[in-house]
Amino acid sequence: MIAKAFRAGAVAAVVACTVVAGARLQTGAQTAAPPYVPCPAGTYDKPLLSAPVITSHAPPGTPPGTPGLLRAALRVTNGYKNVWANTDDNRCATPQMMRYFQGFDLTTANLPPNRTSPWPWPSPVSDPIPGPTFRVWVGDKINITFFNELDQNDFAYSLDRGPTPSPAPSVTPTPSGVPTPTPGPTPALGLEACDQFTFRNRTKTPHQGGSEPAEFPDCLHGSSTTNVHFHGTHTTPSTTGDNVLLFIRPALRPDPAHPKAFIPTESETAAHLASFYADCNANGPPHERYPSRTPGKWVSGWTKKMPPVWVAREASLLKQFDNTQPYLGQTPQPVPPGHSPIPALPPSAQLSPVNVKEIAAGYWPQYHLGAVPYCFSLPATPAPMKPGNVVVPMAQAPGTHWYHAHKHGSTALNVANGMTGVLIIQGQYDKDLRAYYGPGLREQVLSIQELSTQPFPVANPARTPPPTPPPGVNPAPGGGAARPRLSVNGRLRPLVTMRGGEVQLWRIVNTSFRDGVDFAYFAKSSTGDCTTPATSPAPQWRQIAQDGVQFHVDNYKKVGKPGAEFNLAAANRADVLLKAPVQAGKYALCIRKNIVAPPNPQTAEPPTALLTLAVTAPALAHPMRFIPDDKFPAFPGFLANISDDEITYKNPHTGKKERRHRTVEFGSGNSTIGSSVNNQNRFEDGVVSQTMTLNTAEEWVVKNDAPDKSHPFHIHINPFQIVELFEPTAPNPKCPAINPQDPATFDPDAPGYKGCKARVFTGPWVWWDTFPIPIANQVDITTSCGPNPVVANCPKQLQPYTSCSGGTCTETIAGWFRSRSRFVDFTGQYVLHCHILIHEDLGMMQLIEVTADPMAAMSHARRTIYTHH
Amino acid sequence: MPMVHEIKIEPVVDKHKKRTGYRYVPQPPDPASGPTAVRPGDQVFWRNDDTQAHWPAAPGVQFMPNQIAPNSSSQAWVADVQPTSLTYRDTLDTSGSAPPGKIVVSTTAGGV
Repeated sequence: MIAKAFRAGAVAAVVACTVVAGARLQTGAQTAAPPYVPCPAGTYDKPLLSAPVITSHAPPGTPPGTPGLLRAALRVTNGYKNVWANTDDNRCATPQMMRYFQGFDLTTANLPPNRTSPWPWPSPVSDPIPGPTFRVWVGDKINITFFNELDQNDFAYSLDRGPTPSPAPSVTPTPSGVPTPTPGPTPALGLEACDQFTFRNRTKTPHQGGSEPAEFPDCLHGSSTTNVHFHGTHTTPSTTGDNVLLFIRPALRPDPAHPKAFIPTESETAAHLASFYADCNANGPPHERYPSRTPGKWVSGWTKKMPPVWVAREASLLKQFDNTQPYLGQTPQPVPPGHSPIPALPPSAQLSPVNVKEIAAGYWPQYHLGAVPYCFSLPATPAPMKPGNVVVPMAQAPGTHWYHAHKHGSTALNVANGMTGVLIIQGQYDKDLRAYYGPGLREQVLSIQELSTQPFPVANPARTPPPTPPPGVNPAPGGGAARPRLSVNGRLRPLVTMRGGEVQLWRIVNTSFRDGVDFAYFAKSSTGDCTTPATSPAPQWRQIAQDGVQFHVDNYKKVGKPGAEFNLAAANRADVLLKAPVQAGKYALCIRKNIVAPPNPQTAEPPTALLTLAVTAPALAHPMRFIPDDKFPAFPGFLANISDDEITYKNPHTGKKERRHRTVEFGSGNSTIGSSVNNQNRFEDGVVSQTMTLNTAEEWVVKNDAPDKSHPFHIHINPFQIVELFEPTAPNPKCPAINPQDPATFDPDAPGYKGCKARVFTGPWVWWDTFPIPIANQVDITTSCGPNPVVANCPKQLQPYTSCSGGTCTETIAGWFRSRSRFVDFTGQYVLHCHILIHEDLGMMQLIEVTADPMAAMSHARRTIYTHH
Repeated sequence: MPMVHEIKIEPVVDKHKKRTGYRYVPQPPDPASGPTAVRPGDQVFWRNDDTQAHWPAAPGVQFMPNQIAPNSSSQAWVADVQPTSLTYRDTLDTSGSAPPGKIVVSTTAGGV
C-alpha cells in the first residue's frame, strides 16, 4: 500500500495505480543500510532555523499593480560549519570548511549604513543554514548580482580546464623513504584537470554502476568555480537568465597580506552594472547575439548590451587570472617590466582565450571573474497565442522553487557543501490560500540537506590500482557512495512547534545531492523513534503542490488525501498543509531515505526521524481545518493538460499526422545517457544532443536501464507532465504480463507495442521538473545466446536490449515514463540531467536547445561553440 | 561520510617581520598544534601561505604528485592507509630545521 500511495502521489491523476509492494520481479538492489550511530542527545531537537528572507518590492513611485523588483546580492563565501558524518560514523558537529551562500537586499533602504537584513548572518554561525530565501511574485523582475568570493586556497587544488593528457610522473623514493622532488610540472596520471578519481575501481566495465573511469570534463574539477541555477523558473536559459553554461571564478585576491581585498569589489561591480540593470528591466535580458551590419555575421549580446567598462574590466581580470594562477606547483616566471607575462597555466588551461573566441563568434562568453548579473523576468501570464499555433504558451507557475550551484564537475560537491536556497514565487495560489485561512496561516520553509565535504568516494591520483579499503572505509563497490545524515535548515532533527489544532503551510525542498526522501508517517515520539506510526489523534498532511506547481483540485482530492505518503527525489519539492491535532504532544516525522523510488519497505532503509513536531497547549479555540475543495486555489489555464493536438503535426514528407516524440534512455551506470542500452554516451563538450523547435510540444519516453537506482530525470526551463508509467519490477496486475522474449510487452518504441490502459493516466496530470525514473529489471538470457554468448548470437529481437560480458548476457527491461512538455516562449541552450548530482558531474547530462529554426531541430547531435557548464 | 582536513603552511617571522622559517598549522587552529587526526578515507590537503614552495611527504607516503606553489593549495590526499602515525617533512627543505608535521590515522579519530 505504501508503494501505491507513493505512485498516486507521484503521478497524479484519476486512474488508481495498483502497484503492489512485494510483487516485484526483481527489487532494486539497494545497498543495505549501514548501522545507524546516533549523535549525542544535545544534537537534536534544537529549534528549527529559518534562512533570512529577501523580498521583492514595488519600484518607488509606481502605481499599484506594477510588477515588483527583487534587487539582491547573492555571494558565495566559505567558512567552518558543523557537519555530521555518515549514519555509520559517530563524528557529529565536526567543523568543516564549507562553501555557502549569503545575501542581502539591495533596495535603497537597506544599503549601508542602514543595512539590517539579512546580512550579517543569524547566529550561531556554525549552523550550516541554506542561503537566503528569495520571496517574489509572478510578474516580478529579478536583479541578483552574484559574487564569487571563495578563497580557493581553503580547498584542495582544482583546475577549470586542462591540457592534453600526458604520462604519469615517476617519483623515486630516497633511502629514507621520502620521495625526491621532481622539478617542474608533474602531471598526475595524464588527467591533471580532474581533481581526483571518483571511484576506486578504474577498470572500465560497462553496465557496472560506479566503475567507469573519469574523463575530463566528466570528472571532478573546478570546485571553486560556480554559477546559479534557478530551479523551476520558466525564463530565458541564455545570457543573464537561468544560464548554467556560465563559469564564475572567485574574485582575485592579489595581495596575500590582505586576503579580503577582492577584485572586483562589490561597490565597483554595482557601479558598473547599474546601467545594465536599468536597460534589462526596461527591455528584457540581452539576447545571446544580434545581427551584425555584415550579412551573416553576429555581434555578441555581451559586447552590444553590457556596459563597456564592465566588458573591459572582466576581460582584464580574466587575463590577470590566466597570468597569475599557479599550475601544478609552479608559479608564473617573473619578467622584466614592459615584457609580456609568462603564465604557468598552459594555453589550453587558460580561460581568457575561450571567451575571446566565443565573443568573436558572436556568442555570450562563458567565463567570468568575481561577479555576474542575473536579470530576468517571471512571466505572470502566457504570451498571446500565435495564429495557427495550437501549442499553449506558458507562464511562471507560482510555487516553491529553489536555486543551487550548477557548475559541471563540481555541482555535487557544491550542493553538498550547502550552496542552495529557496525561491518562493507567489501568485494567485497564495492569495487563494490566504483568502480562506486569513493572514494567520503560518509557513515553514524546510530545506532538506545532505551536507558533506566529500560526498562521493575518491581515490588518490598517485595510486593505481588503489589499495583494498582499510578498516572503517565503506567497502561497497566503487568505494561506496557516501550516506550523509539528512538535516533541515542546518540542524539535525530540528524541533518545529505548532499549536494544537493549527494548520501550517510547509514548503518542503529536497536539496540533497543524492537521496530521495519518502514521507511516510508521524510517530508519537519525543526521541526520534520511528518504530510505530502514531494512531489518531496525530498530525496529518495534505499535499497541495508538486515541484512548485499547484495541484488541480481533482488531484488535491485524490493525490493529496490526508496522510498520503509521498516521495521527494533529489530536487523535488512539495507544498503540504500540515494539521496538528488538538492534543499536545511530540511527534517524529518519519521518512525513508532512498535512491529507488518508490522505496520498497522490505529492502529500503528503516524510517528515521527528519524532525520533531511539538504540538503545544493551549490549542486554538477554533481548530483550523484543511481547505475545502470548493475553496482550493483556482487552476491557471496554462497548466491544463497538454493535448493530443499540441503534440501532433503533419509530417511534410509523408503528409501524415504524427506525434512529436523522442526517447531518452539513462544508462545503468552513473555517467551516460543515450537512445538504447548499447548506445550510451557521456556528456561531450560542444554537442547539442536534443534540439526542439520553439513553440512546439513533444511527447518523450524517458527510460532507465539501472536496476538499482531511480535516476531522477531533470530538465530546465520547461516542466513536464507524466502521462504513463511503466515499472518492470512492480508489474501492474491489470496489465498483460511482461514477456522478456517479446519487446512489444515492455518497450513503447518496439513495433507493435502492446500498451496497457491501466498504466496510462487520464489527468489532470501533475507537473514536474524532476522525476525518478522507475528502475529496470535485468534478466539473464545467456542460455538463449548459444555457446558463444555475445550480443550477435542472442535472439535478434532482444539484441537492442542485451549486453554481454564475461560469458553472461543480460537483457535490460527498462523502467520508463511517458511525458509531455511545451518548448515555448524561450530559445536557447540548456541541459537535462540526472539529479543524483555526482552522476551529472560524471557525464549523465545532455546539452539541449530550443531553436526558432525548424530545420535545426531535424538534425541530431549538432555542434555548438559552448563547452560544459 | 569522510571528512576533509586542511593544514596551513605558514611563514614564521621574527619581531622585525622577517621570515625565519615556516610551520604546519592544522585547521581549524588547534591551540596545542596537535597532530591532524583523521580516519581512513578522509582527505587531507595543505594550504601554502608561505612565500616559498613546499612539498610535504612522509616515509613511504607521497601525499601529492607535485610541490605546492606559494599562495596555493595542494591536491587532496585520501587516507587510504591502515591506521598509523605519519610524520611528514618538507622535501624541498634541505636544512630540515622546521618542525615536522604529524597525521594520525585512526578508526576512532574525532568521534563523539
